[in-house]
Amino acid sequence: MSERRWHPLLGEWVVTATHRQDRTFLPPPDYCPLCPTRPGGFPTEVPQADYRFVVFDNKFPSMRSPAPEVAVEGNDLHPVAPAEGACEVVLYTPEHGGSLGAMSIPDIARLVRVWTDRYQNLGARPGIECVFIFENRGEAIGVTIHHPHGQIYAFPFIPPRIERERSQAEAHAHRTGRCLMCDVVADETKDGRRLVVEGEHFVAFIPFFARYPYETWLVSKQHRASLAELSRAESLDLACVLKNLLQRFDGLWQRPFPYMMVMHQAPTASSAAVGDHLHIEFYPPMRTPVKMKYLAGCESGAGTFINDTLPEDKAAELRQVILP
Amino acid sequence: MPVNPPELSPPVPVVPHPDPPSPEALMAMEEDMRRREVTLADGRSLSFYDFVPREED
Repeated sequence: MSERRWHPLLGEWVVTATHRQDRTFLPPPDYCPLCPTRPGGFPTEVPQADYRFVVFDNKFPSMRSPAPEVAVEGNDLHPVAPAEGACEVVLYTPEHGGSLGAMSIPDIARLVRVWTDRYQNLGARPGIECVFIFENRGEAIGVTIHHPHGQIYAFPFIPPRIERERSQAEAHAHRTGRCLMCDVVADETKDGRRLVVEGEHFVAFIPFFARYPYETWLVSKQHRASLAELSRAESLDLACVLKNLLQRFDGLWQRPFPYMMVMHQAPTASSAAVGDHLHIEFYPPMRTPVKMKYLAGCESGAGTFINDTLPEDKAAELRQVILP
Repeated sequence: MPVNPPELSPPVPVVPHPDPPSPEALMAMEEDMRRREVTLADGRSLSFYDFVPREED
């Protein structure tokens, strides 16, 4: 069962996906469904003995096309819609024990090209408005399969977080005539205290307004609305800065650093707005090696984050990590 | 009478920069990316991505 139900108080969709209760949960490495199917081994989701990068529909999707019939009838107060869309899995490597940060820069650069192709391919499908690329890493944020992989959701609407970001950017552009993210990048690079690593075309920093202790943004220094607008040099620099940042995360406490990685870029259903500016946001759930930052009453119930740390201090910690 | 110390400007951090791309990384950007679609008997489809040296015109 899968459908969209309208939340009238927040003005946003909630997706139900009851079949996901039965999805694969922390399988032992010998039975990883995302490894290649080895000769004589058990059949995985990839029926080949090896692969470089492979993308396929999530076996337990919250949205798909064609969407199943809705389970309940809606009404004016409670509209219901089929959960049209797509949910894809992106396998980064056939190596079960790898990670995005451990991949070579050439392989991360190739992955950037795969992401770009999926953004364009999914975005060209009828009814798709927003292609959302993300990765959940670590059991701390609910990962159920450890094999290095990311996900892509193709939404038939613009999700509320991205819609709100665009609305703020539009208001800023109306007021100043400039892109909001371009102004944020200019301010962060001028100030310097929250920078983590800076490449020729991309820069990573903990934003002035960070909600999580190690929340880090990786942003194109030039105004680029999406991956599709990057030059080859820019794609390669994205790979270099991304790897450098992920190595700092893992080096901070000398252990795999859990995070949510989400990419924001221009929706695909219409031409880009002035405030659409490609960037990746990382939300690491840990505030110390053994303490989590929970989204508790104030964050979940009021929508106001309480950050127990100063972004300037956390950025300095990440800058000081010695890379391997 | 106490005298306020002169206001100090914040120290300028030394911001790390990534190493310049290796020749291998530069070569990777010149490769052709090929997408191969495979449909399985159960109807599932997979997109395999391979990268090969660019063919000369």
